[in-house]
Amino acid sequence: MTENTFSRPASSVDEPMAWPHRLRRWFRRNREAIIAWSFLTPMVIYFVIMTFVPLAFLLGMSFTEWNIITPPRWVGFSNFKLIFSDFQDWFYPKVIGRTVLYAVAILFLNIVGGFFVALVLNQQIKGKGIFRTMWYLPSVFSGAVVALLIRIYLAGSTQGVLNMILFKFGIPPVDWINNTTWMPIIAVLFVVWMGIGFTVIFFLAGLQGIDENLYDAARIDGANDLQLLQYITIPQMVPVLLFISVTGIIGSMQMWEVPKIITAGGPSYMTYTLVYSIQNDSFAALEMGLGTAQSLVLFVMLLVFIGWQLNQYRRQYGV
Amino acid sequence: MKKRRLLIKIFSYVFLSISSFVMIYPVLFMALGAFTTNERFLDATILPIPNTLNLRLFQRAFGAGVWDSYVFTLTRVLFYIAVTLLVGLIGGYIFSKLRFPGKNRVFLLFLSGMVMPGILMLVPMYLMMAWFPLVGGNNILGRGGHGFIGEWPVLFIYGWVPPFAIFLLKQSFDMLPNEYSDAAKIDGAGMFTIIFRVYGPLLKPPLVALTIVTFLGVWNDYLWPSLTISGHPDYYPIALRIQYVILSDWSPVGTTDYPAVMVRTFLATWPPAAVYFLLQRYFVQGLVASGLKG
Repeated sequence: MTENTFSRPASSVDEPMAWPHRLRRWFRRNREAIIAWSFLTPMVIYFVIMTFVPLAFLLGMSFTEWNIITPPRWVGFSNFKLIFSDFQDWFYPKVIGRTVLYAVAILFLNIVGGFFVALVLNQQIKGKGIFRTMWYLPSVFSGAVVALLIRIYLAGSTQGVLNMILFKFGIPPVDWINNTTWMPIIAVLFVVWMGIGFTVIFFLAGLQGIDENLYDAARIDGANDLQLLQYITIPQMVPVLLFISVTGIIGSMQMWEVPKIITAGGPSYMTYTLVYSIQNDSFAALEMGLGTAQSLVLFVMLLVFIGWQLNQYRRQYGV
Repeated sequence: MKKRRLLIKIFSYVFLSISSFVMIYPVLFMALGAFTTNERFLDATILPIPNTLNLRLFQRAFGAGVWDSYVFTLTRVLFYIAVTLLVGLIGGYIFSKLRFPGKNRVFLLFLSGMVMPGILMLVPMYLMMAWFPLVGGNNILGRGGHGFIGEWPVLFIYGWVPPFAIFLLKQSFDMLPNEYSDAAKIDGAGMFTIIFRVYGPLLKPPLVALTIVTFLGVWNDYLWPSLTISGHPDYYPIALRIQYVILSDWSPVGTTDYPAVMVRTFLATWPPAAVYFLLQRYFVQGLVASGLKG
């Protein structure tokens, strides 16, 4: 206590003056924690309000019947019962099944196609960068704007751009958007087209990360190209494959561009996906409870994948 | 053996050329179509090839509020880039270089928020904005008015704490030695000087990557604005504006001035493409670093 006597009047008693001193020492000792928390506190409050409060809100709303205008009414599990019932010839189970089917098809094409392209690109090839750029290009655009473009291309009359071109090759016009055979296929291809560049870039990075020595050693042992692929490349790519699959399934289960911009869920509900149904029930039919209940169903379906992803990030950052 | 290698090479080039062309075909068609006359556009077999540079359409296309949307969207982009870099740098520095209790818990909180699908928040966030207290005619309890819905702040209020930016920059800070900040501290530098002057210049690659990712995200943003700002054309971001403008003068039957439609789409898509072409080295690095390390 003697080292800073100069700072206080000589007549003062020790006790009351000890506090500022202790406080200062406490400040000095915990300097890093104080700085960190004074910045983190507002960040954490904001983040919780913007992320976890809406989630809690979502949970509560899904047990109500509510049209925004009149106050919500607690209805227990009846929204969920409706979703999993035979209401309107199993309408909602069909929506869920359809969404899963789309997600699986999209993921399959994405992974098989992306892996193949990455393999081809991973050779000694001139203009590799240009090809990679072209493959990724569709992914940098707004899904909504590109979907609008595709909608214009697909217009049914001979004036539609796709029909216009096909007509020059002698193929009669097709009403693509209302065609029950073509539209689901186009929907899948559209989403794959928008997302496959991402897959290619990740697979390519993964392939470039494989130790060359593994290949050399196997070649000395007389392995052929197919065996190299089967016993080295694919096993080495499992972590990337898992990452792409999980992020891919989370993404493609949320497909909305096609129904919202191109088809309005048609033809005959063939592109009516879960996210479109959530939006439609919430904002068009003003059935907030039913809409949020479907959001919750989507959340539960994705929970395993979200959990895996979280765990992966935890390991990556060591927390 | 040698012959097979040659065949694989030839196949690779042929496959890559054709597939890459198919990938960019719809976009290329649009970009070329934007510069052609309508007659030539309708004559196109594979691609519309402009014979004269038809720029007349661009003058008209910038009307109908497209220019206002450009300015508004760019303002949003700059705002979000500034917020992302600022919060990302401070957060990244704190998590990387400081020791404090509760660090792992906060980190985990941000991580778990990051993996939540944004689409789930759409409905509850909409209602939270509609009930924001004391704005848009709302009382202190948030009732009575329309809150932030239809007002420009609704497009600026979310996403101020981007976990992705914090984590990417934390990793980058981790790779830089602590000696820099120790030396700067001895010279009497404060935290902000250390972050922005000492480490900042060394963090160019991740900062550029974040700038691109933020630019693309905000420029392409559609779903949230389409729900919250519809019916208030003064605040339409570009993606929403383009849809609005095109659908108001395009019909699936009858004659359409296709180049006029293509010009509008071109106006919405060239900035992301330009940013991507110019800065793709950083972009790919950032993309891969975000998911693959460790």
